[in-house]
Amino acid sequence: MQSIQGILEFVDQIFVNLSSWFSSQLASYLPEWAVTFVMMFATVLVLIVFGLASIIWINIFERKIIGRIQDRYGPNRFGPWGLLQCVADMVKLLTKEDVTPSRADRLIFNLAAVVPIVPTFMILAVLPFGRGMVATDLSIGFLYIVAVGSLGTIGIFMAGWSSNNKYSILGGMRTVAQMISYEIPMVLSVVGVLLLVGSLSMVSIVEAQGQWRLPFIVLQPLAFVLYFTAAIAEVNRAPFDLPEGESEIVAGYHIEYSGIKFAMFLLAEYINAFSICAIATTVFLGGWQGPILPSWAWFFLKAYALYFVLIWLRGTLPRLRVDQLMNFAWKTLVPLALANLMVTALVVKLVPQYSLVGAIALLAANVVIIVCIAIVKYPRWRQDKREVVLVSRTPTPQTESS
Amino acid sequence: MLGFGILKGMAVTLRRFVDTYVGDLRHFPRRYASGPVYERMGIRERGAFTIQYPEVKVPMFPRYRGPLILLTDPETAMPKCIACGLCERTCPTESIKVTRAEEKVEGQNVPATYEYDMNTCMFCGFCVQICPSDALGHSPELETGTYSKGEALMLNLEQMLELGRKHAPGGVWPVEEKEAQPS
Repeated sequence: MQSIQGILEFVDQIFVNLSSWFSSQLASYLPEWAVTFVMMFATVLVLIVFGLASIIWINIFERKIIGRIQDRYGPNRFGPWGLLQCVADMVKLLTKEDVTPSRADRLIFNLAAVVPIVPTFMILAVLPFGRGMVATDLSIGFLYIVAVGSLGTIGIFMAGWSSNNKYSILGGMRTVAQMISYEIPMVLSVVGVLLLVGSLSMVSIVEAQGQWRLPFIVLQPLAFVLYFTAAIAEVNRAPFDLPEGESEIVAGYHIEYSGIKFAMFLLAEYINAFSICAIATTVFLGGWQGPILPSWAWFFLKAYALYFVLIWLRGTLPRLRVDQLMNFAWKTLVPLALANLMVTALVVKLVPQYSLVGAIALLAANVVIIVCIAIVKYPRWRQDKREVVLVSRTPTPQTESS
Repeated sequence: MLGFGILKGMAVTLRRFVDTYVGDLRHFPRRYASGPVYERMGIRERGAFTIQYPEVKVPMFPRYRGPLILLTDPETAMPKCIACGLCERTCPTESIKVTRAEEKVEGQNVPATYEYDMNTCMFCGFCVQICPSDALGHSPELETGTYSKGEALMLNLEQMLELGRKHAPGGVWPVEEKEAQPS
């Protein structure tokens, strides 16, 4: 028993031990400040390499699942079961001609391809991938994520504006409108959780869930749904992919991009989609906490399960219209998030921390909110006094038959 | 309640997703639909039935209008073509050139040359319909692509007769059933 626990502990802490071993090896050659510098650099390098490498399987994962949902097989040509499709795509994108439109704003056009990808990697820095596996445990972790996450908007708007193309500027404008609208419910829904924790640090959010012995999805189910919905809109994925709605505005903000610059946008989108799943895992699903399996395995299991839901939603729902998008954000998500925040604040003040009573009270509060919303939003539950007027269909004009 | 529609839709897509794996398991060793086209299209079949084209080829339908072939009568081993030139005259894109041989063979006119230009042919099939001796047909060939225009797509008499012997050994096109005479 002791030995099994020892092995589990070893596997659990393997990356942390590796890092400390590496730094102790460095300490014998370098002064202390240099070790710190190199270790920071190495951590950043590991995160960036992880981010870039994860595209390989995220991409194939997504395309296979979307294919299966649509009764297709998805890519199955290159490599075993088509698993190397991403390599082929990358080679194709890298060898493509890199076109800059003649009337485009050259500097901003080229810069805009790099800007959206920077914040996506910056978000990875504060995510606890496992017990003790966090690049920097910022005390303002979630605030940092919100602040950095909204930087991506600027890159997309730069791309939209500098391309000098009517479709791309429409896409850019839509992005700005959408991201600003959806940031509010996204942040407000997490504030409820932050009230429960009493800290903004991602690590303490995970630890608080350990102390409650429940993931926050049980205590804050409504907040989870709100966060996930708003976050999908925040990273411009279906069904909220209006900025790149190919049936309306061709490809939106990246219409003029080709080759490697286009790949950068794609990269940013995929890593962003992964990081919202990772944030949702940390905040609502208990992060790296879980029995038996090593902590990092639990984290990735949960994050990729959420990513599956993301793909599943993409395969199910059609794209929203612009007015529907705005109505949904301001008339449904924001009021719901505010109601959730108020009720949570009240309940947290009344019930003791880390207790079963508290958990039940929070759950009950959520149920009350959901029932209230259902009564308000769902007309069949209240007496509908409106008269239904049946309008007979106008006869369709008959065409002359020969 | 609000959101039930979304959940219902997600149930549908999840079912499609699982069904493809059920279908794969049912035909276990073979992962993809192969052989007959309708193998995986039955009423009880589930999942994906994509035919993996370059490896698995669907047999063309008997009336598929491919490149032209010249038919040979299997009994006399003579081309059925009587070199009347109707096909040449009816061709909308002027893709056919026929010349008649000076001498008759066993009392029948035979073509001396027959040039068929697939570059301009649009596979309308007028020539096949109008042919008085039913000497023309279509080959079921699907992959007629070449790397260059010009000579590669020009067929002469011998090549067309050869293709006819290959694709319609009975000397009749369509191969399965005789085309009904237009009334």
